[in-house]
Amino acid sequence: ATTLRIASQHAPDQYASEVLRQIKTDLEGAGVDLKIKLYPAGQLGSGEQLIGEAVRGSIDIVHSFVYSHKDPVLEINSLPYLVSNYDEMEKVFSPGSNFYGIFDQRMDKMGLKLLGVTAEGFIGVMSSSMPENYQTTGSKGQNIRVWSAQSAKLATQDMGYNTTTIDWGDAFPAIQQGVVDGMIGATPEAAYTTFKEAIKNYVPYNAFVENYAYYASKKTWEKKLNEEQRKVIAEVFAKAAAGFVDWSRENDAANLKKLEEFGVKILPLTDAERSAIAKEVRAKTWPKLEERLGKDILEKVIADL
Amino acid sequence: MLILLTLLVICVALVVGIPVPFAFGLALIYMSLTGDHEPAGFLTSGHWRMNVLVLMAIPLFIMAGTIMERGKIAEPLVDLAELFVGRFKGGIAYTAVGASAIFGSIAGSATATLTCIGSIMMPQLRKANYPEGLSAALITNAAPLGLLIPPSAIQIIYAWVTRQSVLKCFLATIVPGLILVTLLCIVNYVMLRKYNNIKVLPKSDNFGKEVAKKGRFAFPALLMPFMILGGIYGGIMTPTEAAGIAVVYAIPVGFFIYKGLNVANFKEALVQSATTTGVVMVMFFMVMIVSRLLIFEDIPDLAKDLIFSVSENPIVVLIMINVVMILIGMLMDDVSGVLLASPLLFPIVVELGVDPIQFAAIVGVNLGMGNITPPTAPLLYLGSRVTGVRVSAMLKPTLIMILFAWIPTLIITTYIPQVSLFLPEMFFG
Amino acid sequence: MHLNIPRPLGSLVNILLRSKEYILAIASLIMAFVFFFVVILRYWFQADLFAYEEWVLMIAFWVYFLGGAMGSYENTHVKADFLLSLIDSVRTKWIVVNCTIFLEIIIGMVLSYWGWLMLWEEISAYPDWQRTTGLELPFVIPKLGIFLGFVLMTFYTSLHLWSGLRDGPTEEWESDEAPPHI
Ligand code: NA
Ligand code: NA
Repeated sequence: ATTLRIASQHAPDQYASEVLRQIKTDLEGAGVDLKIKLYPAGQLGSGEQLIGEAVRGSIDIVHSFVYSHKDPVLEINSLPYLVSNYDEMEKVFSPGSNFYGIFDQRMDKMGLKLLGVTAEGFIGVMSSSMPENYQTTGSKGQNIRVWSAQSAKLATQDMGYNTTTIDWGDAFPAIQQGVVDGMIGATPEAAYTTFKEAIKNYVPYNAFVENYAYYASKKTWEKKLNEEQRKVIAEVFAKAAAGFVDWSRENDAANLKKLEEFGVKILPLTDAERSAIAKEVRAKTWPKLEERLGKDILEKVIADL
Repeated sequence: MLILLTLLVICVALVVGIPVPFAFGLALIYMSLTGDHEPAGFLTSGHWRMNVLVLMAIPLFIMAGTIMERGKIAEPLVDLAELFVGRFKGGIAYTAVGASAIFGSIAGSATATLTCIGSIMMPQLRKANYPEGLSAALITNAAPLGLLIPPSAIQIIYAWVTRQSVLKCFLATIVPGLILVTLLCIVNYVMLRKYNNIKVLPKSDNFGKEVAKKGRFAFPALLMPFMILGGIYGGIMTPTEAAGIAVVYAIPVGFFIYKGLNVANFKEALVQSATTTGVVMVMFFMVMIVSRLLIFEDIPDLAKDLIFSVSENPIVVLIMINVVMILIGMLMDDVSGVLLASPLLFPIVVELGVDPIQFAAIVGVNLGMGNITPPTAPLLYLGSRVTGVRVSAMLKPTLIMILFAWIPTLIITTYIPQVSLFLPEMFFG
Repeated sequence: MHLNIPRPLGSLVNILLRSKEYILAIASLIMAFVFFFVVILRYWFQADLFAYEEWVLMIAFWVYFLGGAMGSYENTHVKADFLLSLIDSVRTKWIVVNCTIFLEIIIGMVLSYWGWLMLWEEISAYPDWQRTTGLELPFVIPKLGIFLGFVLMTFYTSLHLWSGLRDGPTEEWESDEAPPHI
């Protein structure tokens, strides 16, 4: 049998790991002589590292965040307000969109075969104090944690926050002790599982999508697999990826509810308010990212919406 | 099979005297020749593994420790402690243990603790007619307190490898550390009974005045552990930032208050700490690459099957895990030990239902002990160099301390979870 | 610590060593002060040193690997060498130690070669080479440090072998290369 090594970043109890175990069952049961070995929970390294290992062919398939250290254009996966609701999410992250096309092409150039983009929830802002003007991009009077990326920092500032770059691992004590007033970067699920004790409210801004990708090493794809196996693998992963948008829709809602039950106030945004913020951020922040990503690329992505 | 042969290559290479990073390099060469691995990616994988900010706490704590040592920042702490216990028989020895614990609460490493406290305390112990072998052994046995009392390099590595909270891991080892302090002092007390000509310090005429004077002088030094631990647990700074602050604080204190530093030995101290850092981190780098390949080859599953095939009784399995760690500790130093032991044993321990934070304490005590357990006992050898006492003279008292202080601490830590979980639970709920 | 190396090379080694000491001292200070300033900036100026981790980690890698090279020069890499403690004769020790040093050199050469493969992979990707995402610093910087580190470690280990062969199994050699533990 052809043994494939699949590495992922997710903890074994997360939904994505469950899906991966299903993928293993599906692939091994497809009758095309495949054997799957899973390495979950970042056992084989960080997302940056996995890209290199897959290019080299020492790992066959990866489910991880796609970092832009080899190609800045890949940063389009963290464009602020690339999408702002689940319908847009479904459209943009599926094969056929301009976004997907660019992603596919850029991955191919690096030596990777894109098998699907998985959207695992929308990212909002949570804080321990009450923000001002939370329905607009007006000044919030808050200093919040951002992760270390230009797009995140610029967008969060354009949304009306002061920002401080802090590592994910240090974010909880930083909020709890008042080093910062809150943070951007967590889905409702992450907010519930990790941060609920430290926060008072959550604004579902949907500013970014927590997104990952399934990709294969092109070396594996072209040399190790036969036509039949390639077809099965492409289908199984495409089907798995497609399931993530609906799961996100439900999971985000369920966790917002859990947060509320726990005592975290969900500050409501109407669709119109969210769209207005999205529009403003696209108009203000995107031009600042143009130099890095390319004007033509941003225009193509805009055309998706 | 590949796994076992790889481990064998490492052991043989270590035993014949090849330095740890090169021994692991040999294992890599072996794996690249026999397994399905692409050597072009080996070093890159090491780079990614170490390209994280939290690991920079290790070089910074090493630097802080070295600067404190050269800056004579530890002497006033020793003076102060002596004032309280120096009048009793064995008092200077307890001072050494206590000073190791305090110094260890700032320095991240046992090596810095031993070099510093050993070189200050040994002359005083000698002057007071303490038996040489016993004293050198005691100082050496107390040095791993630097690893158990936070901040600690070992705990940072453990937390990072197993994705636990660094702060919780720091807290987990404190109580085991205090138990160890107590047991070491008791063993020392019993062993000192047959020596009759040990001098004690004269009782001070004006105790209160002395305390005030020495306390004032020691104040800037005493401030360091408060600043570091207060800063970390107050959420004001990360362990890495605290380490940087410790260095920046120690520089003027060493130059102007305790006057141990001058331009020449300051530069020397920086180079020396960078060398120690290099030795630790290059080793780290090589061990990380090998342990990743071993995970690739499924070593955690293999270890799991192996251990569970003997018994599934948690008590027995925990004994076996400790034995494996003692063996690892006998063979290598603490940093490579924790790097190898945590990915290997963590899954088994979690399956047994042991709290990962408790396991942090078990690993800490175990590998601290491994540092002084021959044949590979870097601290024992360093202790011999620092104190000028031959290892053969330190051996018997060391083995007695392992038997009556370390092993009991280990058993308590392994089988009474509250010992290590009490503080983390109090702080973080 | 002495190395019995003939003059022209010996002076070159010394110059290299001095410059490395200055690099290490300065880089170490930078590492410490960065974190100090990060805290100061955060509390007193509510400001943020954006993506400082990217360059400070690159400096750190140079310290790790140049420091590791110093370790090879000073022969302070962690060893288990308890085989040596079983040997009494200086001559036998001399043979054993020089054999292990020779093996170390071979290992060091392979590691240096792998280091070169890693470095070349970075360089050959130019202009699309890997950069950090915040400040766009090329990853070739830390990797050059890693490569140089292994080359220097191999070089210094070779000097130990050469010096040891020139010294022969003398007492001075023993106190430097195989100090008695027990
Ligand atoms: Na410590
Ligand atoms: Na040992």
